[in-house]
Amino acid sequence: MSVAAAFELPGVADLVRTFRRVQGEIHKAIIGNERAVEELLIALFAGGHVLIEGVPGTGKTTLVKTMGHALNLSFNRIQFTVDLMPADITGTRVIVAGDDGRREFAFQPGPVFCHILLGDEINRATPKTQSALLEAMAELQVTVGGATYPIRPPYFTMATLNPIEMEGTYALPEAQLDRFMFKVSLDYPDESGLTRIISTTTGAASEAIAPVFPADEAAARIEALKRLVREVMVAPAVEQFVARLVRATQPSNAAFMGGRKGPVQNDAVDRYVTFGSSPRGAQALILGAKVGALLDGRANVSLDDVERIAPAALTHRIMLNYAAHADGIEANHIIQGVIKSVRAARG
Amino acid sequence: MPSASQVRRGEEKLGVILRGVVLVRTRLNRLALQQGLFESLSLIVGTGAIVLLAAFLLQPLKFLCVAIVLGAALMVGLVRAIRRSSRMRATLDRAAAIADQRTGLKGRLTTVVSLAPYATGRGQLWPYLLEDTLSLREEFAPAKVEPRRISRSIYGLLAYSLLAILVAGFALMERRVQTASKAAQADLEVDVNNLDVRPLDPDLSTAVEVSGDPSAMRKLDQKLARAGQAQGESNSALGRLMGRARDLAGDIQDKMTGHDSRLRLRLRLTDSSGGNSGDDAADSSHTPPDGGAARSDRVGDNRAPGDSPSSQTTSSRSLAGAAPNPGEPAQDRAANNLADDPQAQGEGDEQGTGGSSHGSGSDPEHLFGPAEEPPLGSEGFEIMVEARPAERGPRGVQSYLPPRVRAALNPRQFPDQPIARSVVPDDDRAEVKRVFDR
Repeated sequence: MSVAAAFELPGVADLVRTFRRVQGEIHKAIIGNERAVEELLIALFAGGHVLIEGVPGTGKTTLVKTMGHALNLSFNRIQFTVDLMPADITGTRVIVAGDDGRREFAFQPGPVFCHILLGDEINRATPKTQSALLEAMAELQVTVGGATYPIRPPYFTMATLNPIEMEGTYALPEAQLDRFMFKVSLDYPDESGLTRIISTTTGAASEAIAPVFPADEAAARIEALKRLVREVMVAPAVEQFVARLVRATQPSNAAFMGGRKGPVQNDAVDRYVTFGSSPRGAQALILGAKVGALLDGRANVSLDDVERIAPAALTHRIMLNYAAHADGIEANHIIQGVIKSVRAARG
Repeated sequence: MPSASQVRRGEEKLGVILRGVVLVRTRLNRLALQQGLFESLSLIVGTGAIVLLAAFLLQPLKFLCVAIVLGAALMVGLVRAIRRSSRMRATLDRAAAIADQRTGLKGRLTTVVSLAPYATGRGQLWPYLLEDTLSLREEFAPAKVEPRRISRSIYGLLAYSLLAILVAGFALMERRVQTASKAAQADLEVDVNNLDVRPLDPDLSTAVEVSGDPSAMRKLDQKLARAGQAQGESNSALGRLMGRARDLAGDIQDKMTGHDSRLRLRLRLTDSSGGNSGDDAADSSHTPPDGGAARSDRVGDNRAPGDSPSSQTTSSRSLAGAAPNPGEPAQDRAANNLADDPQAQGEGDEQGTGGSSHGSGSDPEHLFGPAEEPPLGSEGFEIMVEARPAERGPRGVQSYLPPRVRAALNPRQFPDQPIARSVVPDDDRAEVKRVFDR
């Protein structure tokens, strides 16, 4: 049983309204995958980045482009290939002629300098190139040739992964994976969804995506909403729940844990997980839950908000071992088991 | 920056919410207290009832074991009940969490209660949270969070109380029966020379208070000393411990049942040989080496004419528990008695086995005495018969032992009436004696 909010604050209402409008615009182009779209937007308002996983043709690129159009923010796309260099992403210093005819080095910003960056098939680039995104994602800045260049917020990176075509790909380093707040999976559409995709995308007319914000104030509005998200309150009990949840994803014999065992143990974690979630996972859980709470009209985070967001926030942060691959165990199963264990331990 | 009036209104709203949570906490804590109280009472009442029932139904040692086990279980149960109750006790945070969980408030109350003391942790959405929560205050009314006012554990207490009432009724009935039977008891009289000192059956709670003239008591002392000596040789520390435990359990049972098992039988000793130590020597030959407690044989008969019990009683002692441990098997003892005691050999099957009889004796030498009132009551007199057919069979063969039964008389039957000794006319004495001699 849940109780609907009986009181509205303008900021909260604005966020909910904006969220639903963007969602609606995206679904003009994307059929189905409502959950993925919602998680994508939650990550946007929480200030995180998203890794989108899906087989070819499921609309990964379309989704990101549509979102960029709906938010009316600057949008860049990088097609990651094996010969892509870091400078191709961050930018580089080039020789330019000045007004007085002198030639000097000037920084030419790369595609990373935008509000929404789509890294298409990010696993096709070498780890060195993939890592070029790290600084931008974590610190909203790029350092080239000893000079640091800030990126104007909001900055939102969405990278796509093709899970079946692994030849000639480079798995993302754990550090890079950890920078993504959520990993969102785009499912293959069912028959009715496929029918709708056919009818909406093969006709002469395509539905236009209407921007939710005017271009000149989109960034400021989104930043204001992101600040509002940070104002959502979290009870100590919820923080403790999140801490336990994240700690429970670590196997009891994990390295770097100093031999300390968490209050909740899970057999599946001990058996199948090499290393669990980092503290960034806890931050992602709380921030995602805050957006979820606001969408529900609440100014406080509940345990349900956390549980709802946990698969998207933790799945890509858990390193499974060979036994898990051999037994067909997926990270999502582990997360569900951990949630149950922590719930049971909480009583 | 909120104005002072906004802050004041916010504090008022916070106060209303906190008062609501306090009410919820009060109700939850009352229920927790009730549960602890009812469970503890249930355990105490239930255990007490079972122990009382055991006191009536079980032998002392079994009763002791049951009482110890139940006592330990009671202690553990009480500790667990109190711990469970204290775990149920709700703080303000916990009451808020329970209210959130039961009413679907999705953590609103928990957040308000936990952040209320910290003004810095509230943020700009704090007024929104207060207003939102306050608008839902009907959802966390105490009756909605916890509809019950009385803990369900009261049903357990009622069930155990019912059991206790039934057991108390049973105990009351038993006490009345025992009081009636005790009132009907009277003294028994037995010749010390015919007294066979043997180990007390551990399961028998029957004890005897003995009184008699000095010579009879002296002989009894000697018999007890011999029996005690034999007992001391064969008795182990474990046996002594068991004896003490049995005594303890018997005392407790007596206190609980109101039944004084140690004084159920009062035995008056007489010495027909007038203090002749030769009889004593003869007695010693048929006293089993491991004998302990006094068991009366041929009680009530063979009393010499003119022996007045009241005039001869100069000392008394209780033999209860004098030497409780059995040594050799009862059948062997009985067989030994028969073989060693010429008197017993001439007096029928039951005499060597320690049964009781009353009324006129069968010894021709003591046929004629003064007339007397029936020495025993007619209603409450108990006859203890130890029939051991195996004594006539080959050794080691376990024969059928008839169970001790106590059957109610049908309407056409009458209680056993002891035959009163009466004066036999002098003319008939010769004829009577001749019949008995034959």
